[in-house]
Amino acid sequence: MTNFPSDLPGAELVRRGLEDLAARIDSIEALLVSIGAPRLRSCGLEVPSCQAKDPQLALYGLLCGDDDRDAHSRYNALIRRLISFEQALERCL
Amino acid sequence: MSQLTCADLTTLCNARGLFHGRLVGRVVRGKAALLQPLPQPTLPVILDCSVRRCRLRLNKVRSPVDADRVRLLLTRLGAEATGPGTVFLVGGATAVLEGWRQTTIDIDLKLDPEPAGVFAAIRRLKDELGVNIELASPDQFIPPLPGWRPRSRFVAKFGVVEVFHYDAYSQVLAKIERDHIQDRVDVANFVSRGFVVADELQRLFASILPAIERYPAIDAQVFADKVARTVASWQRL
Repeated sequence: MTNFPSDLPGAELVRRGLEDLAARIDSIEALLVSIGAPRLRSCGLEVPSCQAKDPQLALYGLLCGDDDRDAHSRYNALIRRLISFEQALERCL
Repeated sequence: MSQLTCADLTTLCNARGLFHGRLVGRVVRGKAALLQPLPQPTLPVILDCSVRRCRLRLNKVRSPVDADRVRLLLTRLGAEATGPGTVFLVGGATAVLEGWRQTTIDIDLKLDPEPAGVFAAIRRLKDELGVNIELASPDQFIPPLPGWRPRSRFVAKFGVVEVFHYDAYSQVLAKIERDHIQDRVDVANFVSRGFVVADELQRLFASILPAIERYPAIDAQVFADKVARTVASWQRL
C-alpha cells in the first residue's frame, strides 16, 4: 500500500518521508518514517529502507544541526506526530 | 556559537581534554548532519559545510547519554535530593545500564514517591551534565499493570534516593504497542535476558484489557494482535 487518507494527523509528514526514502534522501521526515517502519509496514505501507544505521540518532543529530536549542523538544514532537498517524491509520484499516 | 576550522577545533578540544573526532556524515540539503555518535566525553560538533571549507560550530547540545552518564546523573540526584524517594528508570536508561544499547537520546524517569528537591535538581543537572531528561513511564501510554512496583528491579541507592528499573512487563507491553524500530530491539533484549516470559506477559495483558478504553488512542484489538504476534515470534525461536 502506498496510499492512505490525507486527513490523518501527520499524513503530510509521512508522505514526504516515504518520498524522500524512495529518493534515498535522509531528511528529517525520512528518518522519522524509518523509526516507525515496523509499525507502518504492519499496517501494509511500503516503507523503503533507510540509509542511516540508527535513524533515531540520525534524526536527533539533524535536529541538533538545525537548531540546537530545542532539538529534544522537536524530536519528541515529531515522534508524537508519528504515533498519532500510526494510531489513526490502524483505526481506519 | 563560534565558527572554527577543523584545526582550530582540534586545538581547542585538546586544550580542554576533549576528543575531537572526525565527523562521519553526509550532505543533506546543503548541511552535513551528525549521523554517528561521537565518543564520549566530548562536546558534539556539527559540521556545516560551505564553499569547500569546513566550518564547525561548537554547540552546547545535549548529546546522547551512555551508562556512565546515567550513573553520574543518578549519583547527583541522590546527592542533591533533600529527602528520600524513589526513581524508576524507563526505556533507554534501562537499556544502557543493562548494556544492550550504548547510548540513549534521553533519560526517562518516573518519580514515585518523588524525593524532595528533585525537580530543582533535575532542572540544574539537565544543563550542567548536558542530558535530556523526561518524566515518562509506560502508564502514560498503556494502563498500569497490576504488581508493577514489586516487579521493578532494584538498581542501587544513591544517597537518599532508591532507583529501580520500571517493571519489565510494563516496558515490554508499551514497546509492543508503540512498535518502533528501537522498540523491537529492546523487546528482544528483555526476552533474551529472561526479564519477561510469554505466559506471564499474556496474563498481564489480559488483566489490563478492560482498562484500555481509558486510553482512547489505542485500538484494543490491534494491540491484542500485536501482543499475539510478538509472543508467537518468541515461541518460534
